[in-house]
Amino acid sequence: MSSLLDQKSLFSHDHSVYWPKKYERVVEYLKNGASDVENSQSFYKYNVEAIVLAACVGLREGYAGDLSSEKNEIALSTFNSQNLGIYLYLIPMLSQSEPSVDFFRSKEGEDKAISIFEKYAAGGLELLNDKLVTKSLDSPYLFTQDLINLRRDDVRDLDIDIY
Amino acid sequence: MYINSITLDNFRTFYGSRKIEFSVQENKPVTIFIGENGAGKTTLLNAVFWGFTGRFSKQFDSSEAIINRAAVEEGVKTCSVEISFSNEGVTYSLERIHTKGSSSSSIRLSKYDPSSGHLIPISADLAEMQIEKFIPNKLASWFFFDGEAIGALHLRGDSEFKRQLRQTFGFSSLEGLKELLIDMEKDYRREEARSIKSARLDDINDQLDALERQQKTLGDTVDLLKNTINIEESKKSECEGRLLNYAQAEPIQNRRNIASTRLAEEKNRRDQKVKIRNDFLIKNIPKVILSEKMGVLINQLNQKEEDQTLPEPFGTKLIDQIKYMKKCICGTEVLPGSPEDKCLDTMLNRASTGLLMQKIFAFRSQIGQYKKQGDEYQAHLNSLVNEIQKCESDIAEQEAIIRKADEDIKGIKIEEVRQLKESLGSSEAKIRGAERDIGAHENKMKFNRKDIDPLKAEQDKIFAQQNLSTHLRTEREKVSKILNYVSAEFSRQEAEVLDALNKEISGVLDAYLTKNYSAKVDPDSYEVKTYDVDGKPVSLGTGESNMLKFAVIAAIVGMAGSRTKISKVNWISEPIIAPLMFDAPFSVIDPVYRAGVTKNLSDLASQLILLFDSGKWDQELFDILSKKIGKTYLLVSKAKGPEKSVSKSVEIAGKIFNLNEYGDRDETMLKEIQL
Repeated sequence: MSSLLDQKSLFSHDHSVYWPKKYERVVEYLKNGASDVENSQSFYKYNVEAIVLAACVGLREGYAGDLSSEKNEIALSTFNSQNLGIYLYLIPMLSQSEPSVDFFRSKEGEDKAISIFEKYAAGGLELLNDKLVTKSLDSPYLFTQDLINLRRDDVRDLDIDIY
Repeated sequence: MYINSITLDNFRTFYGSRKIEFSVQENKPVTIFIGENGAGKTTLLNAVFWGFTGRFSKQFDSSEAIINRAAVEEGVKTCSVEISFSNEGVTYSLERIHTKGSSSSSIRLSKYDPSSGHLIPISADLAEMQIEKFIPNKLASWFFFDGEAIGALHLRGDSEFKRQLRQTFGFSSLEGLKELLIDMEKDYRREEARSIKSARLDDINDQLDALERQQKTLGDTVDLLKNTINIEESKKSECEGRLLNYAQAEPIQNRRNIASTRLAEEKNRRDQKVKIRNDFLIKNIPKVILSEKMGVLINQLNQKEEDQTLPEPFGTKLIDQIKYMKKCICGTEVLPGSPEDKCLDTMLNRASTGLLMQKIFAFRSQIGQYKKQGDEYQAHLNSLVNEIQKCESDIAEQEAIIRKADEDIKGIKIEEVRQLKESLGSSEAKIRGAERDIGAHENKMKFNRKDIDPLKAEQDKIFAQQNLSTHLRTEREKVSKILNYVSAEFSRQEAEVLDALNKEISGVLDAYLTKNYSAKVDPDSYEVKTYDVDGKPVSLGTGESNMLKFAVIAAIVGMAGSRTKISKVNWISEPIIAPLMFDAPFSVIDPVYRAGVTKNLSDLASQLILLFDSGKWDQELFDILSKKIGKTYLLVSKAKGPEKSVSKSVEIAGKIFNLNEYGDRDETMLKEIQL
């Protein structure tokens, strides 16, 4: 990374990121396809990569999800180790009609950013899960590549109020 | 002599009566037979050979019953071969008959009387002599030659080859006489020695006896070693012959191995490229998905920067200090909850700390890069996909090479090739060892001879000093004189024949080898040695070595038939004008020499009968022989049982002919084809 500040330093406090456990199947699929173990079609290596992808899809489709059910946890350090911490800000920033840098300012801001990220990740996972029902025979590679063209009419965006 | 026809009656694989007519036209003297392996070519050759000689060739499995198996089951008790041949305008009919249970065969020779149109029988005693005149028994195996025997022919000073050659050229009786005289002279010497009382003479006799015993043992050992060499040469030749059929196995296997290695490398390269592509996709798909929105965000942040609505550079520490001191630097009181205090809180919210500024800077810088990477995604992805496709195409190419190699190698037993090579190496090692031992033994024999001659001279001296029986001495001297004469005559005649033979063999070699090699038969061992243009000995490769063997056969046949223009041996008896019948002429001859050999064969004899393995028959041979072929036969293998889908065929002059069929018994069928 060529910036003066590494992604780790974008956060001043420690956090955990949560995603719905019910979409584990989607995450596993993105990693190893239909198999349980690594194989020639294996694509994603880490859960965190799949969650970032899901958040991006959720955001692009304006589809935020629900996190009330059972959750899985990913430590902030896991995002940072994969250079994916920036998405925890980028998704919330892009979700605003008027971008605010206040996410960076305090622990509350950081919490809020992560919360927004989690909602879009959950939404995205739901969309991917739906898509998986019809495209389960594709390899994770083709499935993921196809996401570039995925569009959804049912927009369910967040009403964001940072403070 | 010309063979007009042969009639086989229940002979081996030929069931019932089968008559085969051979071409006797002067301008088309060649008759060819084509059949698959095991179809009955060697049986046909042996039918003619047996008809004339009552013997079978060495390669022929004579342990099998001569009478056709199916005929035996039907109660037939005899089989026969009837050969109709012409010599100097007279036609003869020779019939050889074998009766079940008998170890020998009987012949009937008849002469055709054109005036009466009848066959006049010739008495049995005269018949044998007459046949011997037409085709001498000792020469028959050279004229009715089993090509597979070329490999078994030994030119390294083999005693069997020496015996055969001496017999062929009529040395046998002279050689027998010489050996008889040597034994006689030895006996006289012993008798003379016994009649003299001399301690020295007794000592000399003992030494001579010991040396001669040693010479005999050494000679026997050398013969055994030469026999070992011959056995190993035969094994080597067989291995080489079989390897020749698998000659393509090694390059195919090498090609396959190289392709397999390349395939593994390409797959590895492809997997690495796929990994790079996947990593690229995993990292960049989110950027692509967000690309549009990131563009807007970047613009918005840029606008905020221009509008100076991004956090301002107030120091939070200064504001914290004012709130703590409850007094601004301008002196205004700042009480908690006062409007001034609230104003400071607002300012603090908008204030820029070093860390915040750094975070914003890092974020903007990062998303700038992400946007750029997202925009360049497709071009970069295309390049990665192209690289993978290139790998896939290379993989497909190598897989095609492997598939082709697997197809080509079908039927080639790799394990057998390995075993043959191992066996070849073992035979070569045994030959080298035996040659080394022969050298040592022959040296020892040479040294012994050096000891024998002075001892004999001393013995003669002692004999001369004694008052011996005149009778004994006279007799011994007579024998010695005759022996000297016979030895000298034998050497002269042998030298004359060998000189002619050398010229003949060299002539054939000169015609068919690209290298300037000449051949010379060693007068002591009968080893056929080859020399280069400078007269230096050269060792030949397998292909050239088999060609040399062919040259030797051609030279012998040529000399026996007096067809040669190169040399003449005046004292050799009447030339043998006989047909040349060659089974599997190319079994051990390299393909490169085939055309030359075929042409040479057709020049060598007045009538030529060639039996080809269908696998070694091709258009090139047809082109060489076509103008001289008078008759063409197919040897069709008929198998008992229902028809199978597997069939064998051969292409002759652009036409396809079947070489196998099915019926109610196993037998060889003969089909004449018109070309």
